[in-house]
Amino acid sequence: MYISLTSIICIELKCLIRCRVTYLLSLFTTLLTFLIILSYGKVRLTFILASLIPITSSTITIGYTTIKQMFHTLILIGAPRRYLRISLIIISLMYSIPYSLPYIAVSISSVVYALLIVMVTYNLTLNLFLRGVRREIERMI
Amino acid sequence: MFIQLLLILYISLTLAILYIISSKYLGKKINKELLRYRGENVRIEILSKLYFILKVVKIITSRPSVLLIVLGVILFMIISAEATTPSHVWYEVKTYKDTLVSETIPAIIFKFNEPVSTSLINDLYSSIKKYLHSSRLDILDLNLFLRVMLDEPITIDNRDIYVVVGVDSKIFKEILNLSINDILKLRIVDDEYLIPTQGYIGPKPIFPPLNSVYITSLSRAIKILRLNTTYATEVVISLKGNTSYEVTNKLLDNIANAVNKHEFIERAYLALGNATYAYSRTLIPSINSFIIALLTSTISAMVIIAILSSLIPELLDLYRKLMIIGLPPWGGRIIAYIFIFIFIMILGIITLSLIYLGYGPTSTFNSLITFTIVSLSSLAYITKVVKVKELVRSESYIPVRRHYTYVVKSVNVDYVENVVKNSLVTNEFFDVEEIESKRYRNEVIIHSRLNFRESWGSGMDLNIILSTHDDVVKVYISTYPWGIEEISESMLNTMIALAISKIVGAIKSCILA
Repeated sequence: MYISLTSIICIELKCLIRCRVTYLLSLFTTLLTFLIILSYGKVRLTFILASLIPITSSTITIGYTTIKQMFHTLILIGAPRRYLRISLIIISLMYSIPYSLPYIAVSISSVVYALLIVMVTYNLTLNLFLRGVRREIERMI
Repeated sequence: MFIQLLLILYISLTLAILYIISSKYLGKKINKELLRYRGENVRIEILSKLYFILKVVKIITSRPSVLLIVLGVILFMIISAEATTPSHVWYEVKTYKDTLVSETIPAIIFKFNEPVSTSLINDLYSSIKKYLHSSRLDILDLNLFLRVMLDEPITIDNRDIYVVVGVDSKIFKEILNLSINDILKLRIVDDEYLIPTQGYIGPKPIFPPLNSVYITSLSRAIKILRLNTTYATEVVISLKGNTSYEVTNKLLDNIANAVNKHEFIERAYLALGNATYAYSRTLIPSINSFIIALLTSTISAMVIIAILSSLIPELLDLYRKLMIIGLPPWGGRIIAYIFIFIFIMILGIITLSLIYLGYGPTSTFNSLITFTIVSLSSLAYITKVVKVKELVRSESYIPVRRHYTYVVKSVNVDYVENVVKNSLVTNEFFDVEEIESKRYRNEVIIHSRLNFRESWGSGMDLNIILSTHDDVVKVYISTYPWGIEEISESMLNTMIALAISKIVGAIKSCILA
């Protein structure tokens, strides 16, 4: 019997909390809020939105080793590929909400943009890690 | 939109250049060096070590997180530059005695960029009057100055005049009584000498030749310069009333407003007798923009450290492998520093110079703060994390010995035999399966088979020979560990260490007793 989607999400969330990604997310969100408020009307929105790419990627890369271990375990215990993909989308969406919230100070459309940028960046980076782990396992076999 | 496109173009160009440098140029050099090394069988020189290090840098560069570092550095420096909100500030200047402004009467002095007509001066005058009224101050007097340096000379009294100075008739009468040296010392305010300066050598002003300077009344100066109306380059407004702390503060704000409103004002002064304040058009970054610069610096430093931290395990792993094949101990740090130098410092300097061209010096100041903090924090992080490990005694490993020899002086061999037997029986890690001893003249042979308590089916055979020479007893311990199934090397080593150390420890402690 396969491991359920909820269990996969729970394992992933637990790992992200353990490897400081969640704490870093809250810290970056606070700093980003201050930056948006202070630079409102001065800095072009494009730059503020673009800055989300390195910020979100760096939050995940700090827990690179732990996240890779987590994927390793999930693949070995037989987590289906489809469930893993879906869980990553859900996790990305969950983590993109706090990042996009500070953009309410600018406009609703910028919130949507921020949500999309963070979600895509998160998902791409996590998928990159997952692919790396899968390749490693294939090499081992 | 155009600027954004230019920026995207710049980022992609920078990345392309960095890639070409690292892959093509360095790659060729390294390959050439390696070929030279292989073909001619020459010694590895310092240069080849450097190429070797650069090749490692190239390997690290190929990681996608490097792209994030590049993007982060450029973006946060631009955000920092864009967030700059420069402002004008009041600052106190030196109050001189030889000024044309009265020491006791407060005055406002305006210096213009170029000669300004009376219509504009009247406009300024009326706005100032409005401000003064709210501050309960009255205007006592208004003096105009016209100081012009000419490109083409005017001939007056057979003299070629290059500088015309027109002053108010009352002041002109006072000047007439002064000597040339005194006139040279005269200032309107601060560094504004009555005779326009051509420049400074250190703090010393350079005046034009005095025979080419013509000082006269304002009306005559206007006639000489063939102006159709009254023009002035400086205006001194003398004030009447109490200049308390609150009034002065309000006045400073109002003058600043007037300067910001009228483009032709270069500088404004407020002389209060005991202090003189100047308000310059030179822009200085505000506290708000400084806070933004610090904030962006903090975020970017954190982002870059987070990205670097993901690179560190791989870097250390690579460094350990390279140390085995001959990388010098300082190699790891050099690799990390070269990486920081290329991807943060050089990139930051290029971005900084482009920001200077695009946004100006005040924005560059903010970006410089970001650049400095990011560079220093990443350098500090790298220095802390990539440590050159020294092989100290605690970290040097010597394989466990299966045979051990120990010499005991002035002890009876029977006593040593009993001690050894007792130590084997009382060993808490082993169960004694068999123990036997036999004496041949001056030698005692002890054989024992021990079962390891921690792991089922493993143990060791021990042969201990005690030989006597005069009053010296030599103890030879030989161990033969075994397992009925495959056991790890570490477990074997543990067993040997536990058995030998117990015997040697028992002999030593008995001798001491």
